[in-house]
Amino acid sequence: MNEPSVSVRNLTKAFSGRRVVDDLSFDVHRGEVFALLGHNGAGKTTLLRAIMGLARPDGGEIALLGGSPRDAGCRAGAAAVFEDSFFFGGLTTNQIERVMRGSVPGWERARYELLLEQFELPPDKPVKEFSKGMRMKLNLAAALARRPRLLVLDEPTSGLDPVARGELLDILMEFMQDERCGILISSHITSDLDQIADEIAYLHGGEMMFQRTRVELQEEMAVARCSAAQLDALPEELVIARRRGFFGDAALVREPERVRALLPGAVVEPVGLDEMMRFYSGRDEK
Amino acid sequence: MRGLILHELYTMKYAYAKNLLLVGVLYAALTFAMRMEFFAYMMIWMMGFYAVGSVSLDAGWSRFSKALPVRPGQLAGARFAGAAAMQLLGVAYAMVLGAAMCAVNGGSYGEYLQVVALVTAIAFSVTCILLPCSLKWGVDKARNALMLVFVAFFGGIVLISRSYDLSGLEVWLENSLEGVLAVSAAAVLAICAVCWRATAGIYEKKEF
Repeated sequence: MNEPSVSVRNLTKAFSGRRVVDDLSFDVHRGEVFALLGHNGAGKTTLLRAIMGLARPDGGEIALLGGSPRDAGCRAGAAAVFEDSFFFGGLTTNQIERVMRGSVPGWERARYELLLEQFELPPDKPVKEFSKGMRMKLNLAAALARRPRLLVLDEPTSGLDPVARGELLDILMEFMQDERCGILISSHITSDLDQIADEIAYLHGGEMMFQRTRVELQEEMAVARCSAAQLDALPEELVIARRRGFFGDAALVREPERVRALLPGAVVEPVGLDEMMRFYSGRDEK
Repeated sequence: MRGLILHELYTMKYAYAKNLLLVGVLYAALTFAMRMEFFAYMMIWMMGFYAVGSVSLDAGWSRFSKALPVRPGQLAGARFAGAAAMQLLGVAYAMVLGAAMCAVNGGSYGEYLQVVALVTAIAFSVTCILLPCSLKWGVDKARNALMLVFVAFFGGIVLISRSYDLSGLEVWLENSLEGVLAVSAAAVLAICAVCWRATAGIYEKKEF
């Protein structure tokens, strides 16, 4: 049976009385790249931290590789890369190798050194002298050298130039060649997710607005561009969100074929993740 | 856990090596210039404060290491092992300096070592107490609170000594030093165990 790598049920987490994660449920299966999409403050990082045992849920349950995230044994099969968690800056990559070899079961020194060579990371330079892209590659090398079954990545491409982002995404796709592995990745850079995500969950204000595969998103949603009067004529259940632009109104709609039939004069086209986020973030202005 | 301890040692070496070298040379110079053993003992204390200070250096590592397949007790153990290693370095320094002092100025090296042992016991106990306090409330608050405790303690002794003659206590201490050392060793182990458990509990509950 294909047990999920991660199983989240009714997860809730609040900080200072404010709900940051609100009743989330989803599964991440082996062999898939599951992406969490949302703008800053949507709850993505808190969710990932709870999954890796760095935050305690206020409600709900999490299963990580069949066990509790608080159990060190379960975390052995999962490797996380968070932007603000890293080695002390004075350490070199060689020293990091010794630290990891003495801390983590299943550590493969040869694989780590191969990855450093592949990423062109110098062995004797302190980490604090690395660029942001180099530090991210180092964190990824340290994660991959453990041969994890699950990679948990929090905004791994944030702040990187397009070339570095492309390199990182290639590394992740190579990791996914093993169908027993899975990736849970958060990002607000939609073009990256367009390239690698199998399934996308959109978080807004701690709530999950939708969870779909990329194909389902294209088939089930679209953008309709026309006049305000035309949009007013659409049945309410078809309109998810509306926006007023400089050149007319636009709406994020369900059932694109039905909308095309109802509004033959409107432009109904596929919606990108970027535009979807803009619609959802302003949906209260509908 | 070996790797966790290594990270502590690498961090402290990178952060403090140059500073410790300067302090070591300065203390040695003062010890011989002023003929005072105080600076030799002081190094043992200083190493403990450096070890506790390293808590503020690695917020990123704390997050990273907690996500590794390690238990909170191991994270705590690495901190204590790193601190113990630093203070042992201080003890080695004090022993070498003391040997040099006794060779130059005369004096009993055996008695000197007994005082080093007592100072080490007290200094390591203070370090053990400061570690969980620093993790919980921050290094500055923990150190300030400890300073207040010291002021209250020694202030109390000064006040008491104005009303009562404490010279008998000093004589007793000199005559019972071996017994005091044995009790101190047991007390250090107990304090270390309790503080390690408290630190493990802090790591268990700490959220990022």
